[in-house]
Amino acid sequence: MENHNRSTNIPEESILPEEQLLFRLRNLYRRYGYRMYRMSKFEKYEFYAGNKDFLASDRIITFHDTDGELLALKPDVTLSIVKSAQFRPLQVERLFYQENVYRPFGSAGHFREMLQCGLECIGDLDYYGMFEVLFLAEQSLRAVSEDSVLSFSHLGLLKGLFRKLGVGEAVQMQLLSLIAARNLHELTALFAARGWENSLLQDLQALLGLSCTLAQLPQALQALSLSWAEEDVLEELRLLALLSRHTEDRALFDFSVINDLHYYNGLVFQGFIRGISEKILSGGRYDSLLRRMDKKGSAAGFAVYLGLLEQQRKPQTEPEPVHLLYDGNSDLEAVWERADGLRNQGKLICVERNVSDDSEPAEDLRKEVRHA
Amino acid sequence: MLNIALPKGRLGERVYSMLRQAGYGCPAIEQPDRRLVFENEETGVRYFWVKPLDVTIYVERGAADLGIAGKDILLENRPDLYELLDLKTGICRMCVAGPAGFQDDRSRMLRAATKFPHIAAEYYARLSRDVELIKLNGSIELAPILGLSDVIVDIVETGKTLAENGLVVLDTVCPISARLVANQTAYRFLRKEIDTLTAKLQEEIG
Repeated sequence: MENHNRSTNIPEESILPEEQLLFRLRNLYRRYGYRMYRMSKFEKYEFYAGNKDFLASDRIITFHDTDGELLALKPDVTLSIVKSAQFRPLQVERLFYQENVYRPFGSAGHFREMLQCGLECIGDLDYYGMFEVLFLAEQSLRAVSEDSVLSFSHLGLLKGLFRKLGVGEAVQMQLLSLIAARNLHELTALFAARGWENSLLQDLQALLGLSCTLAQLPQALQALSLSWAEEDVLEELRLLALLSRHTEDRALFDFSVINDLHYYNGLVFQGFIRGISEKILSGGRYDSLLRRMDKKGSAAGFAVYLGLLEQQRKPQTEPEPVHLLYDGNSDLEAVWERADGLRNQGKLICVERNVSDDSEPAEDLRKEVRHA
Repeated sequence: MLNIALPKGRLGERVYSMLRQAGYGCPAIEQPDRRLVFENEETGVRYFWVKPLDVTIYVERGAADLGIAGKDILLENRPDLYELLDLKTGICRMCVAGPAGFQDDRSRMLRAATKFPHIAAEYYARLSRDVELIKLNGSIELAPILGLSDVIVDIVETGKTLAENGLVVLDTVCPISARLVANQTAYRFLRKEIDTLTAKLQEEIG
């Protein structure tokens, strides 16, 4: 007896894991009031050229339109959604998408087409909306695999530290790359070379060593007594922690989770599942991107890189159909009816003309093969 | 079980020795044979020997949880990994070297031969120096001798090879040593085991 998807009457084995997951994610996002957003496969190149830092890579596939205009195959979805967003006080626009993006992936850096699914919550976003996005990121990750970890951090903590250190953008970038790589030995050397307070290095070490849930985070930060942490950041984390008590609260604080400070602010997160070597989910709050695009309001969102799931999927063999043969003497209506009848019994039927010997009567190829 | 990619050669052997001292020994790896994978269930480690240049590929793609890679390879290939520890072994320098008495004529483009074009490009970008990088795969010292380049950007350990070819160090780009690196996904699922190994190795280094 075959397993069938009840709603569609499609055998489960006919649906790829990525397709099954898409159904689950779409259903999840709709339950929270998100509407599907469709977009073109390409945009004007200048649109991406002006926001290259936001993209995972500055390499973009370009081509000329028939009128000579330079277009680009979409390397990212968020920029296109933000471009069309309209700010309305006290309202948020909840959108989800499933789109292919085109950009270099992996250390070899070759272009790939990658299916991604995600959501964007744009507008007058408050802490409730922010928490909902984090919660949906966690739920999305669990829909991919129960054996998963969602790591989160808050970029406001980093900004507070940078203010305390009084460092410019170049040094900020150096610090960010060392923190993102958990490279404590070079952080220690940098602090020594710059003559920065040792207590700040100890704070950094403590934050990189910290792993706790959102609900536990305010207390854990309080215990660290971070003199430079800004009160509005701590207050936001306290409010989010209160909401997290109403969920399973499985996301874990990880100070090495970082995103570009030009675009992201506030909560940022990344999702990992066992068996896939890189992050499968990435997102966060990106009010700064809105500012750069002359938009009001605030926004948060995330993408799930469904294309990466192929790494985990074992090679599958297509089920072999039964070959029903007919020849020049066959009654074609009878062949059609026979094939239809067999398919209705759940068999996979491929009807073919028997070219080897037209004088032989039509039969199931499996018998014919044995005769041959 | 922690999967650890060791670089074939003297550096890998030195680091394995540090790991054994730290309590992660694997008797099978000490036997002279041609196997590439060695496991010790008792200490929870599986080692495999790979080409030094390939260590970061194994770790980045999750075939290994941890690996030992030179800082030169990390700077050149920029893999997306955690760099958990400076092992303070395999110590050398990335240097600019040239003929003794070389003076940079800034009115013309500098030609630099190197196995490390990314590191060299970043170094000269910091100096705003117009440079033509010539990517070579070995015997870099030959390039200035034969007039292929003005200078070289390469790893210098003792400086003996440079001296024997009439070259001197003109500038140090960065210090190099072996680093313990981790896959980001593996770190999340094996954090306790990886942190324990890192701390024990740190004790060994002192």
